[in-house]
Amino acid sequence: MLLHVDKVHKRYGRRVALAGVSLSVAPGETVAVMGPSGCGKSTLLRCIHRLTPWDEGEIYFDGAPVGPMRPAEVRRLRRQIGFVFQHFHLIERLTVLDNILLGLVLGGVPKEEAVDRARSALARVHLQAEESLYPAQLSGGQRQRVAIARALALAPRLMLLDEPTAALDPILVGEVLEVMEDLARTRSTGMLVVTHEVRFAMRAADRVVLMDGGAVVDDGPPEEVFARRRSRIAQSYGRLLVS
Amino acid sequence: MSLLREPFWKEYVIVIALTVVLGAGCAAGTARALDAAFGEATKSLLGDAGQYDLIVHVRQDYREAAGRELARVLASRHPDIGVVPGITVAGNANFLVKLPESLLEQEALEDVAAGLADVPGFNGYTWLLEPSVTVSGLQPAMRDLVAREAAAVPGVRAAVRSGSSVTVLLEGIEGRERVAAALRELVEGRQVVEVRLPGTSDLNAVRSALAPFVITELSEDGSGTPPSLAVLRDVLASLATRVRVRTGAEPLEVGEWVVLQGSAPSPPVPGAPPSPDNLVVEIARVSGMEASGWIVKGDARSTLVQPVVPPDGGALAAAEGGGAVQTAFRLVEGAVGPAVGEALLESPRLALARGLAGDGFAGRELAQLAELAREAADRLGEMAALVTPEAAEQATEQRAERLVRALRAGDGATAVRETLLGVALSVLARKLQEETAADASGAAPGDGTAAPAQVDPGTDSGGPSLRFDATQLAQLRDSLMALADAAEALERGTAGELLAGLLDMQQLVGSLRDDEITGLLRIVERAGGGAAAEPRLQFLVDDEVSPSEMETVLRRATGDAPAIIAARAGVVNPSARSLLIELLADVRRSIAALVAVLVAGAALVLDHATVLAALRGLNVRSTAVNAAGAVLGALLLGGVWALSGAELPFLGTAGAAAAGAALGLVTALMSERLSPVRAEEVLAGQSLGLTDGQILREIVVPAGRPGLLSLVNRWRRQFR
Ligand SMILES: Nc1ncnc2c1ncn2[C@@H]1O[C@H](COP(=O)(O)OP(=O)(O)O)[C@@H](O)[C@H]1O
Ligand SMILES: [Mg+2]
Repeated sequence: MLLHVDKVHKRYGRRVALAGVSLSVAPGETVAVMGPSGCGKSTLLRCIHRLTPWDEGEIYFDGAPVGPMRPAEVRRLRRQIGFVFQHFHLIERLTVLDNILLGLVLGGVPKEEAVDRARSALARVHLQAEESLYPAQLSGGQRQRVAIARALALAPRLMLLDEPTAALDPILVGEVLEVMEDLARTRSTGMLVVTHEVRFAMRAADRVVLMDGGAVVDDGPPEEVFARRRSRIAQSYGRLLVS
Repeated sequence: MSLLREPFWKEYVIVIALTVVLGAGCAAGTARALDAAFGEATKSLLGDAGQYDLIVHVRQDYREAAGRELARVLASRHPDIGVVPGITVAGNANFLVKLPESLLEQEALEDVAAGLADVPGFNGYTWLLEPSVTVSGLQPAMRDLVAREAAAVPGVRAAVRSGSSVTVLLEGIEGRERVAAALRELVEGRQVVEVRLPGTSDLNAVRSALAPFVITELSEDGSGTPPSLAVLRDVLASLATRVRVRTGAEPLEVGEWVVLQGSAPSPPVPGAPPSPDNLVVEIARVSGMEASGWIVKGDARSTLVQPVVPPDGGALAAAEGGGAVQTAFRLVEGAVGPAVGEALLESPRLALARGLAGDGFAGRELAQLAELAREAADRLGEMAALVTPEAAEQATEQRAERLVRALRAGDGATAVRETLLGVALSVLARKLQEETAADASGAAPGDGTAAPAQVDPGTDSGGPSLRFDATQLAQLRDSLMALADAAEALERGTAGELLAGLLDMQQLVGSLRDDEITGLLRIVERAGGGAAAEPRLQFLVDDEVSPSEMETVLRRATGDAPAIIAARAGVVNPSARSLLIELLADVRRSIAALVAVLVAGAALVLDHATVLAALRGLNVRSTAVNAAGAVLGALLLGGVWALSGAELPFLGTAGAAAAGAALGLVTALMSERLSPVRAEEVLAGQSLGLTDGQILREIVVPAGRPGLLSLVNRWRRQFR
């Protein structure tokens, strides 16, 4: 198992964000995490990336527990797990290429190799022509694709994507989903995608994990999960699918 | 914490150091610029700093002559002394004097000042020496002590005595505070205590009794009178005509005046004012029925040369050739009052003249006498300059002070000569005493010892005014010069010259007027602080010590009943220019301080708020970030402060560090609002597996405001 989250609990003060979440992702597998706003999806991703500490349970990456990792190990972990944020989080002062090079070069990849890898990552998101532009010169969809390329360039074994299309104009959502579906199809990397795109989940995800109130309420192949309508939330996604 | 091991912090420390250095540079540069501007202002008021060293004041009407003479006097000290006429203020013409570097040391400066007395119409001088600190209100012994101690303070170039003050010339302006502090330590919080003792006191017993209170003893030779003054006093006293009065039922009191017939054709008439030919005598000592005193008006020579022997040839019969007896009348409110007794007039001068005519002096003594006479003549020359009609307007005290200075100018170099002079004088005095005592003993029963030359010092109230004019003093001086010549002639010893010398001397010694001598005596008394008969000890003691406490201790230990008089030891004050400069320096420092605060504030906002905000983004605990801000602020402001010397009157380096800490804390608390760096970018950096240092260097700082940090950081940054 590439990733295994084992009964993770996380509280912010008295508010419970995660109440014993467990899930796994196999290598090359694409898992869609779905659930209402505030149910703890982002918190879960942040815990996996060690951006937020948790209270109980453990997260295993490649069989190794993430919790006790020391800073250097955490950095190595992060280079193996790409993170794509809802709001892109590009470095505004750097060009598209430099944004991608940043992680590579500072991570110790020789400059020339880094440039090659960065360009091929850009090619995968169809943005070769934009490499010398600045984020401010790009559309939202382009920015998110740059963010995906930035994560991809590090050749991660797992990608965490936190509502990558939620901040986009509806007409720009398609280009990003297309890139993501493409990625999923190649199975070169595991993907844990937080999304509200039922269609994407149906088409690209191997499994869907449904969360509510900080806990996993269903976990299975998309058509089964949506068909089961085991929870109120599954029902509403199912309705969405039908329409 | 791994965060602290990041190489980024090396750059950060460099930036802090650079900020401090540059900030201090800015503050100091501002201060320099202000100095230049303020310098112009000062220059227009007082001339350039160090342009002139001395202002000589002369009476306006002597301006021309004084200018010429001043130039000559100064040129005789050094060819390179420059004199420029300055403005005339309040009846005084001023001359600005620039001294060459080589004269800027104590002896040379005091020497220059002493020479000024020769300038006609001389009316004082003011040192403009810069940079300097002045200690004023000093008594003579204290002044010398301060001068000595000040000269030993590092950074002091010269300690120049003038009047009751010491002008301390510094090597550089930066030493001023420190030297002033050293001087303050010496004089402030201390007092000079003068212990006046009965003549019978054992001075060493007194000293040991008071030892616990005493910081140092100021008196020399157990007497408050400087040796050269004591010598001069003895000379004068030995020359003055003595008057002893035997009173009847009503004794006289010290300080009272009596009138004698003198050379007037008839005795004084009660109720009428005394005539110019009468003698007025001030009573200086009273012991029982006998009083003695000095002639303050008139001259007894003619009386003594043709003695008026009282008709009854009574108990106070005049000694043969040496004295005369006249009736003494009290002087009551300027008029002749009732008779109080018989007065015996004795003139050691005439005795001396006769003595010289008789057996004469041995050769060595004569040599000493010659020297003594020259010395006395020299000093009288100085005195003549002080007793010019112009100078007579000055307060007696001031005049006395200057007299002391004039007399003391030769102190160090002529110490040996002074000792010799002392010997010569004591020989002379002994001889005179022997003779007068022999004369008097037969004539004045009940007074076996000849009254030594003394004047009661306590009688300055209503004392006689000093009535010398320059001509009289010049005459006196010439006489003494002639006396010296005569003595030298005697020494060489040919018979004819010897005879001529003796005759000259006889004539000269006799040519001094009694009231002149008494007047001189009085100046000396005032200048020197009293006669030797009532010993005085001067001590420097702490302010805490009360004179009454000392008195009690002394009384218990020795049984003496001393009079103890305390006075402030002195005051340290900057010169006029220093005061102005100090004021401007304060303004300058305040502005420099403001610049320092601005630099530190700018660095905090531009550079460090960004970093502090990023630290929060990197999950560093809030209290740690706040502490870091405070430490940073303290380092920056404290450092700039310490390095630039920007001192507000109320804030030292520690204070500045504290203020900086407050500023830094505020910056830390507001860092997220002050910083333009987006937290998402920091998060992105973390998610890419960058180290905290890489995040700070490549993401945080470049996105921050353009400060020193982003400048330095630029070299190490990989993504430009
Ligand atoms: N930094 C935080 N501090 C306090 N509460 C938080 C923080 N982040 C998230 N939460 C809370 O934790 C719960 C889960 O949030 P989140 O993981 O963002 O949900 P989702 O991504 O599913 O919308 C929510 O109730 C949210 O308000
Ligand atoms: Mg979320």
